[in-house]
Amino acid sequence: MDKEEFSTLVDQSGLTLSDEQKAVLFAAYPMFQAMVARATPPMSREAEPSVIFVPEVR
Amino acid sequence: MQPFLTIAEANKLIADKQLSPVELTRFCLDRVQKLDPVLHSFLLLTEERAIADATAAEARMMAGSLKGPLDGIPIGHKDIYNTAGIRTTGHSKLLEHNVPSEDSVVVQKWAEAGSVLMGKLATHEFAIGGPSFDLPWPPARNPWNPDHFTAGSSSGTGAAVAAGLILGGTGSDTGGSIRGPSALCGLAGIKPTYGLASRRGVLPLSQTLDHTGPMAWTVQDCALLLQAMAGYDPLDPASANRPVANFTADLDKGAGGLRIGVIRHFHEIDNPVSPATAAGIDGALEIFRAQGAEIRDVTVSSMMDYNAPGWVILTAEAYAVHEPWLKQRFNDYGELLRDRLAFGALLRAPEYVQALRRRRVLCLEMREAMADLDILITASAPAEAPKINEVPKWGMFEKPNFTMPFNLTGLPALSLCTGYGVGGLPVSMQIVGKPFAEATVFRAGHAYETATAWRSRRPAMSTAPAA
Repeated sequence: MDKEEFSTLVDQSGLTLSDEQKAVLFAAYPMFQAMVARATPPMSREAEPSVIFVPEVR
Repeated sequence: MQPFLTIAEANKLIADKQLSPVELTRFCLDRVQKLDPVLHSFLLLTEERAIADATAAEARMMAGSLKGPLDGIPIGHKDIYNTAGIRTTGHSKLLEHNVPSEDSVVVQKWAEAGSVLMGKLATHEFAIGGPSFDLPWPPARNPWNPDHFTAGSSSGTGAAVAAGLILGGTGSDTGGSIRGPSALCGLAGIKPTYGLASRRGVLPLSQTLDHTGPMAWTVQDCALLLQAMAGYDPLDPASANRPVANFTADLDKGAGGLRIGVIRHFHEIDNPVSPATAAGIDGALEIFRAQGAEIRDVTVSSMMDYNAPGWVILTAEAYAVHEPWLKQRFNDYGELLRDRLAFGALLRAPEYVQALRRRRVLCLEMREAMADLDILITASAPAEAPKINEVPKWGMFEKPNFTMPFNLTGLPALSLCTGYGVGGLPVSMQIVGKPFAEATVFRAGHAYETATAWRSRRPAMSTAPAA
């Protein structure tokens, strides 16, 4: 992803950031993406999330 | 009066009518006046309330109707705990003038136990963005050396307890915010099992990772404080509907017979710790072994494998909490918070769900690793406190922290001091228990603390004679 694509992504999110603020985030974005990739390895189709719905809402 | 008292010591003196809660409170207020201009641990000192609480406690003492071990004890609350009629800011410009109408459940419980409310304590902004120098109040400083970091986010509680301004206080812990400042400020602090203590009335950061818990000078004091805050809250959806254990019943049993697993690769390979931190852990294992504990190494997934889903979940949930303000008032946040949370806007829904699925896999792995063990041990911080102006903004991406794995898995985890390293700064270890087995964690921590002399040392600035 280049700087312009990143800028578009930020704009689409609804955040209003200056070019300088976008540049700071863009520089760190590869580290964030690496973290996301590590958090989401392939899992079986049946894998359950840790948070599930409980019908007895209180 | 002794210059430093633990809660247990003060309670005994008060129960014996040898210590006046009013005198104790005035002593702490004087120390705040003397030291807090440097430490910045208090955002708001509630002096009138403190004297009123102490006077009421003193009347109960004289009438022989003390409420329990917290009666007459000066405490403080992290400024994300709602306090009725008392400003609660989250250390943020966005809530600079916010005055809640109700106490949070934990504030209410400690008040009912007779504690003396000294005030509201500094935090990293909304329990994540710090240390920040662009907020309405400065960041708290480490009393062991004010040029150094307290860690966070319960930074004010860490500084105030270490310096003896209060005897205990609240923290909250989403990725290590109780255990980090407990480690760097040389305290004991426990993140209890998820669901043990109510989060209602505490400003949320990440609902599936947020925990409330106590910080104090000793493990025993943490047990007393947690006893007074634990319990089922039907209005907190995460609260566990189960009886609360007696956290002090097993304190004096020692470590004999405990089965201890050491996650050595966390602190030797995944994020190698400082020499003093390593020596502290090795020394603790020797003490436990000498007391008759069985010790063996345990291997689980890499610490970064536990950190990654934790940070993804935290970022997504915290962004959801703050999205309206981030869209409308981005620049009213401090730089650290807004930059860290902005990534939440870029996460995709499948990534959050996948992180939650990964979380369950890791919870099962940790349960299996602990199946025939009572506690786990690793570091709680990698090293002595860094300088406050040298804390990296993206540290969580660069190296895994030692605390997030137990937010992710929800297990009870205690940080306690294991000595002093470079520059006389504290080092620490972490003791982790099975779900709702806080009593065992406290037992091991107390066994270690009472076998060492680390609790007899206080920061030099707190012990210096008045000028």
